[in-house]
Amino acid sequence: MDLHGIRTDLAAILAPLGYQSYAYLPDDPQVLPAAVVGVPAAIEYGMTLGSTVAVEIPLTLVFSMTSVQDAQARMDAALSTGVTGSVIDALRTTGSTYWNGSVRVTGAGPVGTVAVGSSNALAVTLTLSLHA
Amino acid sequence: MATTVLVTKGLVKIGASTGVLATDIAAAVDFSDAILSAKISVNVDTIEVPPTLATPKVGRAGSKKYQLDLGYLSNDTSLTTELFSVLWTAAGTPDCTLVFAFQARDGAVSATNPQWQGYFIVDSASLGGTAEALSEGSGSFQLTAAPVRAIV
Repeated sequence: MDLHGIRTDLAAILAPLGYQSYAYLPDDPQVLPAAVVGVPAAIEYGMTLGSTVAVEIPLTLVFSMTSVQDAQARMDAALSTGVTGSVIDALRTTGSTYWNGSVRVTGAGPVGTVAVGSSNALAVTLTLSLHA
Repeated sequence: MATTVLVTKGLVKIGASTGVLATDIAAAVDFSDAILSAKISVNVDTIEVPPTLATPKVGRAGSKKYQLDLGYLSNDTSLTTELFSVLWTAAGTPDCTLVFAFQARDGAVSATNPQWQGYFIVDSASLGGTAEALSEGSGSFQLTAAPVRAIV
């Protein structure tokens, strides 16, 4: 199990959707929309005799609120399924050599605002579950 | 007498049965990546001897039942490398029998790390589960005889 590889491939999935990925909340609103691939919330080692590891990792999507309507529309698309711009669909359907099978998105929320530099931004955290 | 703690790790290999244990074990596939739990056990029936005025009620050992319990990640993407498919295929054969090898620790087989070997009857295989949850299967498989405790 390679956490750096997992982060890298999650970032690669989100890049075509227009998200720049970070390991921490950026302080420049110009880089939004952004994805923050956080530190794992939980790691279960030795899930199988063959050392399969279960990883639960938060992914926070951050949207510029320069236009509140645009931020809302972008977040709607990200959290929807079967629409252009769906982050959920991209995560569920893209494989990786760093995890086994597909990523499960087990939840989304809370939605709120965060400070990015001197601006407020709309943010929502997805909980991802994968096996490596 | 001191005992040591066993944290289950090791391996589970499963394969086709030709009746020649060493050959079957050598050809068996390592399914450890899919094994969530593995356990072998024996249960002995107790026969109750009726009491008389002169003798108390006592028990005697009856028949033995050897069993392999497996929990596994269940998938059907391959007929040969996914445990569910191997079980499913075996369940469709007349004798429903597969060979297994189970070690409860990592490392080479030795007197302190034995490998349990034998044949089991496939009486179940399952795929799927709750929506958006892992597909897991489990089974309690009866062995055809007492397992061999190999140490080399």
